[in-house]
Amino acid sequence: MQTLIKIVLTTLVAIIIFSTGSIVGYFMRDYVVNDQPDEEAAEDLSLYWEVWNRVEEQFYGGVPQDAPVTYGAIKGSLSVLDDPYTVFLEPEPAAHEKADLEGQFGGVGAYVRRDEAGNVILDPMRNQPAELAGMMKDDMLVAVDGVDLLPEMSTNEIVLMIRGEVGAEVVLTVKRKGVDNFIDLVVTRAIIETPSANWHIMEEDPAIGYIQLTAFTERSNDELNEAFDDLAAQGAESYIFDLRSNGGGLLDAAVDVTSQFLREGVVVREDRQNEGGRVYDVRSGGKALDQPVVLLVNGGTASASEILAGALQDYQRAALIGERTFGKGSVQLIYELSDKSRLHVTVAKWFTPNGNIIDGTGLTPDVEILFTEEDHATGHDPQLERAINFLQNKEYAQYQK
Amino acid sequence: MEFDVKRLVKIILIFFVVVGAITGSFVLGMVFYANFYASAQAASSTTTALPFFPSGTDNSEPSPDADQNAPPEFATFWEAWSFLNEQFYGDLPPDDERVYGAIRGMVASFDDQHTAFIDPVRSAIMSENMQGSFSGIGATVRLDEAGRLVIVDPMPDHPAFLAGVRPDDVVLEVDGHSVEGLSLYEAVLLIRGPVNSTVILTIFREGEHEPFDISIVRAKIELKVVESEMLDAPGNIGYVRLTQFSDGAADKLTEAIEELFDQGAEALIFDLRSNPGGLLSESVSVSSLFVKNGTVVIEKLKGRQEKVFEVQHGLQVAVDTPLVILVNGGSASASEIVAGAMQDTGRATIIGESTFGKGSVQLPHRLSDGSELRVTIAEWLTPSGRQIHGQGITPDMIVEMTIEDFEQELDPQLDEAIKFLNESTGE
Repeated sequence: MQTLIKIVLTTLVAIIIFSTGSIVGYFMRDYVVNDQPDEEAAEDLSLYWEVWNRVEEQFYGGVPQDAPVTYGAIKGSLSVLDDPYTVFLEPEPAAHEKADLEGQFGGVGAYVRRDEAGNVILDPMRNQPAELAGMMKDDMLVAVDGVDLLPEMSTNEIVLMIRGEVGAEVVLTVKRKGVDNFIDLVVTRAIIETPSANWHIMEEDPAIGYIQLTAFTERSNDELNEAFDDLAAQGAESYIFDLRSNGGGLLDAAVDVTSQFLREGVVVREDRQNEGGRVYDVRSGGKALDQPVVLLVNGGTASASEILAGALQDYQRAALIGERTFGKGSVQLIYELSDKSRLHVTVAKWFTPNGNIIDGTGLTPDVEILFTEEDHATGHDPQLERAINFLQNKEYAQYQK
Repeated sequence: MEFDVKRLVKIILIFFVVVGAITGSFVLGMVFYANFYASAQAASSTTTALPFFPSGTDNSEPSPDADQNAPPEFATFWEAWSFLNEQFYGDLPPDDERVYGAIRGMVASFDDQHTAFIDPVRSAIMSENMQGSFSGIGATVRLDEAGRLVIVDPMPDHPAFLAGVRPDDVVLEVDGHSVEGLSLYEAVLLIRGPVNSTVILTIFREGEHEPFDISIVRAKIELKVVESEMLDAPGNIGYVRLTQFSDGAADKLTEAIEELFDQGAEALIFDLRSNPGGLLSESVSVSSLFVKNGTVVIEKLKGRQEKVFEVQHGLQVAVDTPLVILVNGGSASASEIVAGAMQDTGRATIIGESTFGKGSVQLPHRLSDGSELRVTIAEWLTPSGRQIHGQGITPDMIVEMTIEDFEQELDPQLDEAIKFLNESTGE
């Protein structure tokens, strides 16, 4: 281990709010890291090895594998930082995160779930590789590439066994009702997209287009380009942009999405430990530069969502309707480590264009409308209703430039 | 003979106070090898650690420069370390803090709550606390299956009780610091502090919507290991309680029991409720007070070695007297060894609730920088080969003690023991 190892991470490095399962921020850059401990630190770690030697030698019961011990040590060393966003992800959850942030993965195109009896049940998506290879709804998965599934495997683990490189084959052994023998399905993995946006024209008013964004992924901006084109073609003259429970995602995506609504200006300001201030400007090519817009927000609106909402509020470009947002004003870089585990490190604070810090406080909506449990039970969405109202009555005139 | 409940209750209370004393420290039995604590234990017995018996001190010198033995996987650790050094926004804690964190994380990966790392500051405080009395709040705590810090017994008339702390309260924070992920020792040491200083516990209580704060002024908690009294009840019953198996516990018990005989005791109730354990050697000695010979406990070491601990001769003081042992969920480790041995041999009737279920033995180490490591090195079995770990001892007669009983100062377990002894002795 004493050889000098240089790791070049050409991987994207992303930013995340991990606790809400989401993200914020993203940088593409090469990163060179020297994983050789400096002498002082290595010396400090002698106590670690002193403890390790004693425990390993004397512990009654099974000594864990090397990797879990190292992961435990990494997590422990992070726990003293007192920062809930600086976290370590083991390779398996890291792989899921990667797919989530990229908005796509190499897979077969099938839903996987466990039924009450613990059987792994498949449901192929239409026209995706799994269906094309002959998978049928309710096929029971028993093995992947000849490896039998075990009762203790989580569906997440099983999903990762099925996913892999685009173009590579995977053999899914299934049991089908009414068929005695197991069936081997040879499936060629393809790019499976996980959409972050969905949109439609409001039934109540065909001049209003509704767009919901659930995360800020690498593909979000492309999806929104399509959404705006589609809605405009259908006659949308104003937009409701729903950011409720959007926990964030890539910083880069937040800058792109914000740029859909602004011609120029600063999207977000950042302060880094050793580099100082940094500014992200609006990019050209926005598709909703002039139409009235309201943003729906709530307590689950966090991070990248707050960058967008904060900028549009500062520029009085859009009114925020709903509830106070989460209040996550820090930026994490995501490093992929050599064993495919991931480390999120808080590297910066960010500020709205006007220099406001939202960390811990969140954004206050321009029009506060609560969504009660009763509303939920009765199928009402008072926030959406208010937004429609707001646009129809042209109330934005008093909020927007 | 008139049965005086009030008097009885008063006696019980006295005993509770004793338990409360332990409190401040924690329950959770530790069966320890005593090498490292020998002097502190001799001085007294407070608490915390209820070590179990020595057979050889661990003086071996591990090689601290063992980074060479690091598995290849450990490279990931240095990657993470370097990234933090270069990029973390804010001030990083000192390296030694980070290393302690790493050690705690590594030790946690062994998935055994009794194997623990204690940094030098806390370890030093603990040694001080072993001097016989300490300053605390007077409540016993344990970690539950989910790793939460749970109040077992707040002792009447002690600070925690007076401030409104109740059994089964879950402690979330101590002075605003989360106790999540801390070992039991670490959590307890946060709760303790100087006499007359104030500690704020953030409590979650079943039935309350929100966690709330309780402010408690710490007081000096004195420990008495043995409490005894002739019960003011029919049957000439002597009652003796042991709060922990510290050094000298068997001698003190012998003295107390002989005194009870002098006062006319014809039957004994031996109360091990909320006794978290202690030295293995003491559990063997205490068992030897009540039986002439046989096996007390079997220890299974790593590599399938077994070590059998036999009754010690010359200690017997009450081998024929009718005997009831009281136990509850706070009876752990050394307490379970005694209860298990007495149950297996049929020497005593066990009354109360199922015991804690700690069937492992820890060896403490003093590390080079003054910190302390406790490693689970063995498992023990009752004489008939019963495994205790995770299961506990099921009493011969199960009698529960509810919070209502506690609040009304009733003790149905003790009542049942008195009734049983009177029936079995034919009175």
